[in-house]
Amino acid sequence: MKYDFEFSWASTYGFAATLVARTCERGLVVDLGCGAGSFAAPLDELGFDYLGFEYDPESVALCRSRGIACEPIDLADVDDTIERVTAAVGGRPVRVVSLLDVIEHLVDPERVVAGLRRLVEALTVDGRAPRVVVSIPNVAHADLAVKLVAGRWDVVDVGLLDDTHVTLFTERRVRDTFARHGFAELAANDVVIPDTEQQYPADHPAVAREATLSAHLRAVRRRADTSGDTYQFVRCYEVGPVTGESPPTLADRADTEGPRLSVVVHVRDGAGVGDLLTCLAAQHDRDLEVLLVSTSSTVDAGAAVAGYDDAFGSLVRVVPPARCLADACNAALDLVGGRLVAFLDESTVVTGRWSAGVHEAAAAFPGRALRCATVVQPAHVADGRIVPTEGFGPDRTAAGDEIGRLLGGEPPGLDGLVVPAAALDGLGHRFDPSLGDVAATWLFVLRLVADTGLVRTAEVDAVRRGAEPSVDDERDRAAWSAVAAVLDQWPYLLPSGAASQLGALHELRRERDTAVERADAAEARVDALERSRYWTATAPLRRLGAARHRLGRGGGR
Amino acid sequence: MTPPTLGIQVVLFDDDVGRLHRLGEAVAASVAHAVGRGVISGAAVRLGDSSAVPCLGDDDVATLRSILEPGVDAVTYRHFGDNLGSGGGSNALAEGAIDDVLLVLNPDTYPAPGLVAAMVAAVADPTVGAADARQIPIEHPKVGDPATGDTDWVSGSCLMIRREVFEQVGGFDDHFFPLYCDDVDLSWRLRLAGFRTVHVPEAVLFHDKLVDPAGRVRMSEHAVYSDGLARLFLSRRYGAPEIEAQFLAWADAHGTPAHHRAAAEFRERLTAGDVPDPLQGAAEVARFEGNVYGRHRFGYDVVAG
Repeated sequence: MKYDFEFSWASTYGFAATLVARTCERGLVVDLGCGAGSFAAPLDELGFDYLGFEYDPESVALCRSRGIACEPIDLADVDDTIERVTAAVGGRPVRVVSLLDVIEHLVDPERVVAGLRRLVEALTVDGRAPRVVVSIPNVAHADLAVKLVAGRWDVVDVGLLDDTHVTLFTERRVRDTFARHGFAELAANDVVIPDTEQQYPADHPAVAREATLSAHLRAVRRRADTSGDTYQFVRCYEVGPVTGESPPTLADRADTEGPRLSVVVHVRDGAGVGDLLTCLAAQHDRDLEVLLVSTSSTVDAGAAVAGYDDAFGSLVRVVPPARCLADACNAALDLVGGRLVAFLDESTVVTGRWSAGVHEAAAAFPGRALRCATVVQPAHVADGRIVPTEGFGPDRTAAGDEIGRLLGGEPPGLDGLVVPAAALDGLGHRFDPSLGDVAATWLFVLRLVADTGLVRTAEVDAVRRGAEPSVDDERDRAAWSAVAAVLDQWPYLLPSGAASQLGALHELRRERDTAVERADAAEARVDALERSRYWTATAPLRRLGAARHRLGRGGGR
Repeated sequence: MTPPTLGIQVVLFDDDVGRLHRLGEAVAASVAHAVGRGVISGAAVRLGDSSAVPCLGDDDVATLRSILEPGVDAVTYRHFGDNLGSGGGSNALAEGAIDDVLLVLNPDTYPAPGLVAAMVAAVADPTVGAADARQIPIEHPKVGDPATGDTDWVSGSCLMIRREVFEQVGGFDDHFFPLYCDDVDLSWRLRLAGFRTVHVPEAVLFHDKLVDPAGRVRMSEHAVYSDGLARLFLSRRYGAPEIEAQFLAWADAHGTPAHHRAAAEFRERLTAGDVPDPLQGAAEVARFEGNVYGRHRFGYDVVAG
């Protein structure tokens, strides 16, 4: 018999039993799809009563032969299931209904979970409903993800891709399916197995953990969400409100909720935020929201928002000040609702068509990060305002040469960067506050751009006002070291154009090395000359010559 | 003393309704801010349309009213039936006005909340003839005294003036048609009458302008033409014949079609005697730097696009 497992506390059943013990009151457990009854023994050990239900007559017989209470049911027939379970329970209070490794074998999980809800209601006594414990394999495990990239989907007799699994679940599908039918998650005790039975062919570079491609794919998977190493979702639910949502259809794929653009504004000293808010309020396309972030509790970003028309005022949120920019940006990114996220510094002002231009570029280059074409205007702050002192100049961040700018010790250029929210939510890009703001921002930009590429918008719709940031060698070296330390841990696939940049760097190094060699050779010749007998013998003559030279110059004063 | 009443005048020319809704929201908020602080006691908005075909239908006007009122007491819309130009349109809207203070405002703007209050406070000073606002995202580079705000001229994109002063100097000169330099001319006549013209940096005005990829400010062909013609009028009125001659020679030799058109029209109008008359004492108030009017902190390249 295929599923007649011997029980182990380290198995899925063991994790489920532990979860039951931790979250459920002692009493009767109704185990739907109980197979050979492997779940009965640990529950007995934990002090629960057990009643199994199974479709396969052979398994029912096997359970009974082992002295395990078991009744036949067909979960596809909900009414019959409810009738048979309530009859077998006979009015006893049921504390737990479990479905372990069952739902993935059924063709219509929506109907099963809807039926489960009805069953739980039917088993509710004196207002007390049993809790539900499920275990479901994770089809988004990293081992399956890396293989699918390489075109492999190896269905086998047991495991994640068991040949009798007809419905596949990711964490999101588990969550949404149970929520739709009014099950609120109470606790989780997932089985986490990084290295599964699917890790083959073991020498495939997409599969072998240490191979560069595999490491890269696994790093992407790890950032996307936390379930990449989860083998089985083991969850406990209690009855809650029914969301009433329908299962997703293809028509739902375009998320139309929320604004199209979220603008994260870094407020430094408050000198520019009013100007920028006015520009944003005046956008031709005002389908946006604004999040003000700051790292200083003395800057009252909220005061800058006061007085705008209600329609615009309702689009602006002040994120509570954080201790560093990385934390502040992360807090904002947790709140954003837009499909695009733009970062602007408060010293920047934009034209009226800025947001429309961002949307045009995003539509032309989906999935790509954008750098808003910007001109730079030197300015200083006076009377709490930004005062331009010269006309416009070019923007150094415009070239899109991120690696070159990093190596050149330039600032990361968060201002004017526009990111698809799918890269933030879907791939988990965030700022690492442990690195310091400069390094954290650089790393954010580099990793993001490695995934998205970077496109410069066609039209200049932004003016960055202020002094060009000075290059601070020490700070930049520290930032670069921090960035390099992280990048070294991460198989960084170079962005397009990187080969030429590296070629240019190599050329530079060769030129420098040649220059150094020449200088060394010249120095060696001078050394040899100074040690020679001729040089020593003519020393008095040279001293005399130097003295005459000094006298000759000294005629003036 | 009762706070003054404010008349806000906007001359339209083929403007987009959506843009006017945004302007309406901004004006309503800025008026509410000023009323709330007791700086003004009320405001009226007058829209005058110089377009051939009216920009606004009855429904559009009703929508604008719903945006502007109740903060603004009265909203009126007039289709002039003729292109009066910017100065001529502003004069027409000021006829019979009873407001204490006038705000001449471009339709392609969005005033920040504090704008009305800051500007009304500035023109409350009896020595001040007119005031203008700080423009973003492209700040006007003309020189302003950081302490007093005194500046060579104030911009008509957002110009505030007490009505009695406006009437005393006869409003705008509609020779400056269709637009540009009517504000410089008004400013210099105000200064000739003994008033100061001041820049109010606390009053922030978004002005919908564009920059090209080389960082040059973009002007339409029509704007280049109007600007050229207006400069010629200005140099004639304020006794700067060398600038007039220089511009005409440059336009003939190196100008774009827009410059040629401006030069040709100026010569025609000169022959017909239809140019602004030179003013007595003009040299005392007119300030030219090189061949441009007013002094500048820095320059912008301008491109016709």
